[in-house]
Amino acid sequence: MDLLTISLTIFGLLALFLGSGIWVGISLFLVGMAAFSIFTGSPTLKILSNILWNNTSGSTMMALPLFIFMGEILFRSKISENLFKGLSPWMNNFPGRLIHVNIAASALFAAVSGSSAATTATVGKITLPELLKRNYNMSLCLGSLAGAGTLGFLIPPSLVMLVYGIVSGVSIGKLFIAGIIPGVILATAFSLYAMLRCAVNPDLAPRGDLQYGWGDRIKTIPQLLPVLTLILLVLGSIYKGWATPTEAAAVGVIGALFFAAISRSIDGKAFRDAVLGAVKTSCMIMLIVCGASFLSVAVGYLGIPAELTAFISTLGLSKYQLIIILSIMYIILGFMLDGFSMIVMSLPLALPLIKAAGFDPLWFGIYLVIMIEIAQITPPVGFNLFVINGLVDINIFRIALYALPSFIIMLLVTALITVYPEIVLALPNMMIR
Amino acid sequence: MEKFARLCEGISRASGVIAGIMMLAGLSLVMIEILIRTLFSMTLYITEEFTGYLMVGITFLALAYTLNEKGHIRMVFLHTVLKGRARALLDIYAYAAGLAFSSVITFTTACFFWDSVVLQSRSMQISGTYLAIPQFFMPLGAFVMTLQFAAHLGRSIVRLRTAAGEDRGIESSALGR
Repeated sequence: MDLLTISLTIFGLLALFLGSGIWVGISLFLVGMAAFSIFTGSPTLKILSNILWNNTSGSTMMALPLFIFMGEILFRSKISENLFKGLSPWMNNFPGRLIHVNIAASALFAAVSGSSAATTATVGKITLPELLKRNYNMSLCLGSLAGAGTLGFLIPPSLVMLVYGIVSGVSIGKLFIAGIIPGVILATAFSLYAMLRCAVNPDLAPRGDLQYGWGDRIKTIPQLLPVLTLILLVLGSIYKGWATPTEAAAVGVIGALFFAAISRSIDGKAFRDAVLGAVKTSCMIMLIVCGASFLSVAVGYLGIPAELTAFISTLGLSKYQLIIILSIMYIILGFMLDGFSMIVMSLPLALPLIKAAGFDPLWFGIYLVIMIEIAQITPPVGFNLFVINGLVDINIFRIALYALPSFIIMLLVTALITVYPEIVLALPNMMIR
Repeated sequence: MEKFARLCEGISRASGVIAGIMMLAGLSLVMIEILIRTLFSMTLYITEEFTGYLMVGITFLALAYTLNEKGHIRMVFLHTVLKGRARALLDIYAYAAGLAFSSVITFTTACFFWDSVVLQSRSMQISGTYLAIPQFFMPLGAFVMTLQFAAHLGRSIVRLRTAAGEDRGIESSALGR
């Protein structure tokens, strides 16, 4: 059977299993098993058990449940509540006022949590009631939250970067550090957009009766200290090379527990829920990672990535044309798939192409994270949309419409980092020195 | 059927709790390593190796619990569109596929574990741990997931026959948190 038929059969099976509601991780395994059994004479079950063992028994993997655990603790504590109180006096004088709290709180929470859904849920449950109570424009409130919430994946620590690092072999520490500048640029772009809209129409963010002076601002600093300390602990230790990502995650968990305990915002039940929540999410991700790893071995064994790379190189595409094609593909995938599935399913094919085109795999990791952020706000499968729908009970397609400006901003930032890859690579290169 | 399903749920939850304890053990191990390295310039030597083993336990023992808590991701378009009998049939199809998958995983990981028992395979690290010990969690977790899939399948079949209420919810929107 020729390779094109084999590839189409594999793709068709995957679409069938996924579309018919079989769990993503299990679909990947089933297609991998079919590919091995039908198209190769390899001992499928032996390969399967070895892949399961090798993919789960790496110590780097422990960073995954620990970072999720840290986010779960913060989600359940008062630390997130204090973020709103602490940031409001600093933002109230800018055009857009407390809309910027949505964005700044998301950026700060993203720096202590690895997930965009956690960031959106934690920030949204505090900011949305406050903003809507003050008659802020609904479209701007929800759109800015949907967009800024995605920073959870770009600003380190990031679960998506962990998975990308594990699957691609790129240094997780460098990926984390590489996400900082693009994350700050994206947050700034979201804020500038809000400023612009509110400068044109100030009624979108009414002044209200809130007035803050410098005294109020300084008084709020202690409320921001826990998050700032955690950011310094986690990112500082990785940047300085004092800790591996797993160790930084462990220190982050202890720090989060400490601050939650002194603010008396975690009890036995919340702790138990946080532990089980972390175990559940990391197990879900691990099943997908193992399934994708198994399928990619099957696909690699059949020689599909090499053949595809050779074919694409005959087309004579420029670097930028390749990125435009990949971006369109990822946006389409993002309508239907979650970020983890997008990474692990596409990487065996995309990474060789990217390397052959001369892109740095570290840069590609950050590009991919932004594509996954876009997937978070594109319906019908967009987890940030689901989270906001749970908070305000508005149709996800309407929320997606509100988030359209964020979608465009993310595409513009993608173009920016493609033309100027130094934006991504500058900080990690400084780490080497 | 209901008795069996409840028993499976209990086993899955217990398995998930053990996975949680393993995560806390991993956290403690990493913290002890950091402390003794910082304070005494020493190392435990086994931290990396044992956190890897704990991760095997966390992943496999949490499989059934995660399934039961609707934690594994899947596309739910068809699920949301279909109602009543059609949805019960779709559930039966999905759970049957899951049962087949988990049975294969249980079988293959049991063989993998048994090979290590027979060959008395040891880790190449300083601890020389018998690999069969951490590898035991693989068939154990996969078996609990098989039980859980069987329970869900049984319930779906009963629901189809009795036209009883629909399965409780679909995959939660908090996924990926």
